[in-house]
Amino acid sequence: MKSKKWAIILGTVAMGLVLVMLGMPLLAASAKEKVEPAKIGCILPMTGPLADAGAKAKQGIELRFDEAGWKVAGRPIQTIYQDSATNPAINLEKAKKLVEGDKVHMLIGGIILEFCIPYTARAKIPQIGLRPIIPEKGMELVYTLMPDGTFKMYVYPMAWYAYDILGYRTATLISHERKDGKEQIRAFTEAFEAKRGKVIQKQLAPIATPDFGPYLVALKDADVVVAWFHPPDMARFLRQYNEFGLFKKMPVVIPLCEVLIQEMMPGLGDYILGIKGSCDYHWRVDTPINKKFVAGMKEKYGAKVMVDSFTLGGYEAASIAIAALEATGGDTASEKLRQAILGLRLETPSTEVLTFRPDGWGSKDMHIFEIQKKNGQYVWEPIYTYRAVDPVKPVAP
Amino acid sequence: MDVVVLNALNGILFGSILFLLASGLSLILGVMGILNLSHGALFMIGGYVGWSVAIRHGLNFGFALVAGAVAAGLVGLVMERGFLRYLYRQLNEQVLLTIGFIYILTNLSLWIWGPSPKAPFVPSLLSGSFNIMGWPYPTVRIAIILTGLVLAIGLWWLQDKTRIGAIIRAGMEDKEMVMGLGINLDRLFTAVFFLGAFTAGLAGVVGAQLLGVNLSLGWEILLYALVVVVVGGMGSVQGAFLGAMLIGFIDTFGKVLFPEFATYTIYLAMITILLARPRGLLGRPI
Repeated sequence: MKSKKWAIILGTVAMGLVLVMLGMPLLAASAKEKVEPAKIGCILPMTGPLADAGAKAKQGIELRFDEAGWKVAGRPIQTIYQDSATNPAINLEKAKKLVEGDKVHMLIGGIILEFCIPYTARAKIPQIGLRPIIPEKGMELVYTLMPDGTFKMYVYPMAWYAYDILGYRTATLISHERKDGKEQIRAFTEAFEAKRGKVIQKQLAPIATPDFGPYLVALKDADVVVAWFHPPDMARFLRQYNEFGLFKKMPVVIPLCEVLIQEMMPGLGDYILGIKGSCDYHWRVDTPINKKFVAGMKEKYGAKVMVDSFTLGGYEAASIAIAALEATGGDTASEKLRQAILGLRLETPSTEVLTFRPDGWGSKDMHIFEIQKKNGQYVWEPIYTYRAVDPVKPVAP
Repeated sequence: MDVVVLNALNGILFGSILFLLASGLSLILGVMGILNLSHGALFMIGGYVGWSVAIRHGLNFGFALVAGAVAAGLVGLVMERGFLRYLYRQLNEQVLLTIGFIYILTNLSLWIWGPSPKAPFVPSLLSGSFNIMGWPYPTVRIAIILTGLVLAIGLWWLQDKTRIGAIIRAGMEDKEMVMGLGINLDRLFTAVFFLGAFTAGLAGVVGAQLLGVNLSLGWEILLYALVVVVVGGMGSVQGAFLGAMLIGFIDTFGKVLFPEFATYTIYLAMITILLARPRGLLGRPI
């Protein structure tokens, strides 16, 4: 009797063990069904001088992921946002937090991300930049991919257009004394003088200059004034330029004209009509994909939403992330994502085709815009396009 | 010659804006001993409220001036009554608190007015120009210069020719004696802080005609205001005026004559003046 009882107990235990061993693969399979999301860290300036740009970039990112149903190649997408406060050091700190703390698979942003480039190279995390930057000597992008290329990619077309189409032969340049202002001046001079134009004056004002009076009074006569400042200063400069009656003497052109944001234009007045600028995007670009993008923005955020190059930057970066994940089949291995991005040929609202050089710099179309009034609204109207401008060695057509 | 004259006018213009801003800061620092680093943020609040009244609601610019000044004054009142009155003679805490207020006011402005900068706005009455030596010199600049002058005269009259001004000057010299004479120092301090914040807001609306308004304005303009107060001397309207004009001229002609050092000319001037006169040009002895 006792042995029979023990036999039953042992038999039951053995059967239980067999069932558990058979069931374990099933348990593992159901655990796998809860798929880990593809985590994308987004570093945007939500405060500081570029707060406006950050808010718009976020709108573009969210729209694109909405369009994709927040899923790509079977993996859900999860975004984690951090505020860079328009500060490159904070940008780096937030990148570290996202990579080391939140274990993101990819980064989007920031706008001022130069400090992050060596970090993402060490951490081997693909980072998609927003808006152009200035290449430093010895800078290698490695894991940073820059779809919006370099500053000179935007400035050279303005110089070409000013010389070839507008017929300007002399120019006086003014910008601010920080790195990006100096790069504007350097790049325009290089491109304009390569065409045999002559730059007769260069002025550099401190950033956030309250009064441009001393610079306006010192302007030398030329065929054109080339001006570039961050948004609040750009509006200030144009108003003061008009107050001194200078629009009657010399026209103004603005390379990388996103700095004169559309929201500021009504506050300035009709004297800005006819100003030409160069940029990769304005919502008036006349392509089906852009019209769809703008319509999507209005549907999601309301008819009064302002769509500009920062919105486009976010949308494009998200498009690149989606395309890369599709190319890898959802695999978030860093090198696979990086190679997938480098191999992309993508149509976006700004360009017929966006491609990347092997060094990570993006190449895209550049448009020349003119400020016009459409239905009572000031807009940057596209009037000319330079196709596939190289970011490192732009070549005039 | 025309360039010299025009730049002299530009120097006076910039000095006028600086005086409008720094006079309140100097008064608060001199009477109450409070270093209000959020003074630039009050300037920004005044500018935003003025923009709302003049541009968003399309009202008369005069209303915008009053609304901007009163709004900043009321914010200042809340700051003084609610927080700063508990921190007299505690400089470190004042600095921390007022810097905190910069962030609070900047974020409030972000919520209310959004992140986009507002372009400079000028009433149509001031949109013309005067011909000065063949140059069209904007009318709005002349108006700003005159506003600065009127405020300077008004504050000087208040400080030197009225009973209230006498009390304020006495409060700067000897607070205990003023209290001993039965004067409510608490109320005096509140009134002075309100006045200082009021002038900051007024400066914000006036300055918005040249500068526009944006979220960084609080920080950008604060540095200039501090330099003016240090150079001119604390607690002195005349000192603030002299300091503002001096800094305005140095900044303007610095940009013309030494453009490579344009960012630093006012700080070099400040260092030089302080080495020769540590209390500033017309400040009280330390």
